[in-house]
Amino acid sequence: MIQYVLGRLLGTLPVLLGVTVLVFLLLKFVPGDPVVALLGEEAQGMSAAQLDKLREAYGFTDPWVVQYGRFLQEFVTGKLLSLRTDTPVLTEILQRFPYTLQLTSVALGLSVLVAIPLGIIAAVRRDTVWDNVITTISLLGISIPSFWFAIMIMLLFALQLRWLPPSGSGTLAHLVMPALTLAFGTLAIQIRMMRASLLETLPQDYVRTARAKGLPPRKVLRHALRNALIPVVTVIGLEFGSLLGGAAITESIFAWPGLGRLTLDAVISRDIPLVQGVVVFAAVVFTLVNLAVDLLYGLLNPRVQYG
Amino acid sequence: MADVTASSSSGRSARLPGAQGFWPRLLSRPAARFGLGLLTLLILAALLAPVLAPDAPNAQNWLDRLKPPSAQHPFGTDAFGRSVLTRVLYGARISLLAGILPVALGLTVGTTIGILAGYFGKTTDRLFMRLMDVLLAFPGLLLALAIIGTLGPGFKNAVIAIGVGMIPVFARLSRAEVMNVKTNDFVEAAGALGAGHARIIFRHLLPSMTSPLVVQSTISIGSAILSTAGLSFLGLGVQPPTSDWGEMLSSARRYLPGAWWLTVFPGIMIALTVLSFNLIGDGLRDALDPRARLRRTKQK
Repeated sequence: MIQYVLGRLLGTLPVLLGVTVLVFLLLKFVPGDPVVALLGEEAQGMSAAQLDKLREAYGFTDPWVVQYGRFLQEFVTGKLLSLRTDTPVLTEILQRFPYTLQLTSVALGLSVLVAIPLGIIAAVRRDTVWDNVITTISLLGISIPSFWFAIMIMLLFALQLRWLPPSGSGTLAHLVMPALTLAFGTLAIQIRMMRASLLETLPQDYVRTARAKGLPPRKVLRHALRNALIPVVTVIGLEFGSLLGGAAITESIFAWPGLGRLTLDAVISRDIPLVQGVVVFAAVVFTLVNLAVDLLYGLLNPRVQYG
Repeated sequence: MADVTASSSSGRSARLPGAQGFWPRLLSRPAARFGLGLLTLLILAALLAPVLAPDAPNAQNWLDRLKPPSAQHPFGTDAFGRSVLTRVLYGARISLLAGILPVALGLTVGTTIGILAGYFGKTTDRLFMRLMDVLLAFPGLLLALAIIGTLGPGFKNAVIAIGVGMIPVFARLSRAEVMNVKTNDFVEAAGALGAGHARIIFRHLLPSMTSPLVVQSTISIGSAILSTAGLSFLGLGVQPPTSDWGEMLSSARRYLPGAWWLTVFPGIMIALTVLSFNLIGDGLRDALDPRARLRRTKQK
């Protein structure tokens, strides 16, 4: 088992290396001179000779492979510096990550608590009013933009009712609206998955057997759920990994100091090392969470064999 | 609801000989009918914006700043005295393009990659699919943000950013279809008869995968509209004075809670547009995917 996990971990290495290569190559697509792009306003007023010197100092004249190796080394050892603040990119990321982790956990917990029961009801009461109402809610969930939902609840809870602070962080009250927004965004896909999965499980033979031997409906449902939950867990895992990368829009609306807002600030101020760092970090987290979900899959479904 | 579906489809079959054809099957679903109707209206609104709109999209009227909805301005006016209705109508053009263009990019590049990988297999397959794994390792909007972070903001770059993120979905889908169809006898026969790679791909493989690609494209357009609107909302997409619905929402935030109409109307438009693509996508899936239909009839 341990060997299997280690093997799978090694298997993610090529993908992660690919991610760093791609992120590194992005810098090559920056229109114009990379030194000017990196320095921003500082570059204005510099002579061509000065720029040439800097180009050499930054290593832009080295072969790409050498530049890439340096980028990787600097990032891992925490020497890659943000252009705006001159602090190591890794330090900035690790400062923000707990906020994103907290927001993601609360939001996902909230949506799972709502989505799973709703999905079960929709499947069990298929083609009834219940099913129609729940299916409509989940359709709206996919169609309504999260930023609009965010503004609407802010209008209601913060500006009209004045129950919650409109933005910021620090107290539990600050967490409510961003968590609600993210929960709403991921609710729909979970409901749909739960409903579809249970609908596929219910007509199966073992469920019919359970019913035929006279088990009460609740217990029959328990039998079916054990299998029906497997794809739902996968979806939840994917959403978890994805949200950990930072919810740029939601975090920026509610001024939540997580990874998403850090990314956005970096993009807007064209702090390219910081953009690169955050993106690599989020991709690593996402890949590892997906791997964890894959392994969990085996625990839930004994038919999956390790090896 | 089941009764309505049954009667309408049988009513159609009385008139149409090929009642099991694509359109009757699609239109037999009320949700798909609603989605199609909605989308038709939206496309008409976008095309006819110059005729329907009360004013020019950037016409400012400083005397009419931030006016709530009235007979003269049904959706109210913004901080520059511009008619929100006009801007919503013109915004439809950009927002629809913002949905279609990234999908066109993802579809073209992704399907090409998927076909090459699935058809030639071996190293080609491994190389392309590893590349797709790399693209899939970026969660959510992050790849788009990274691309915009380097290329800079703007509508064109937003389209590229969202489009690149759609490549892997189409690549994986078309690769799976190719692998599936490739083993059929008719493909082998074509090869034995001397058909070249190009002929096999275009005549035999591509036609068999249109259905899943059409379904995926429709649903992707909805999500591309949401993503590009999100980028515009963050100030990274369409740049003022041109505006799509995302940008309208973004500038509307400053005038809350007073000028609610600035936020409500563009938001509803985005939701309705995305909803229409989702409804049509679901309907297409049921109408085009024979396996899904089989499953449904079996359950009933």
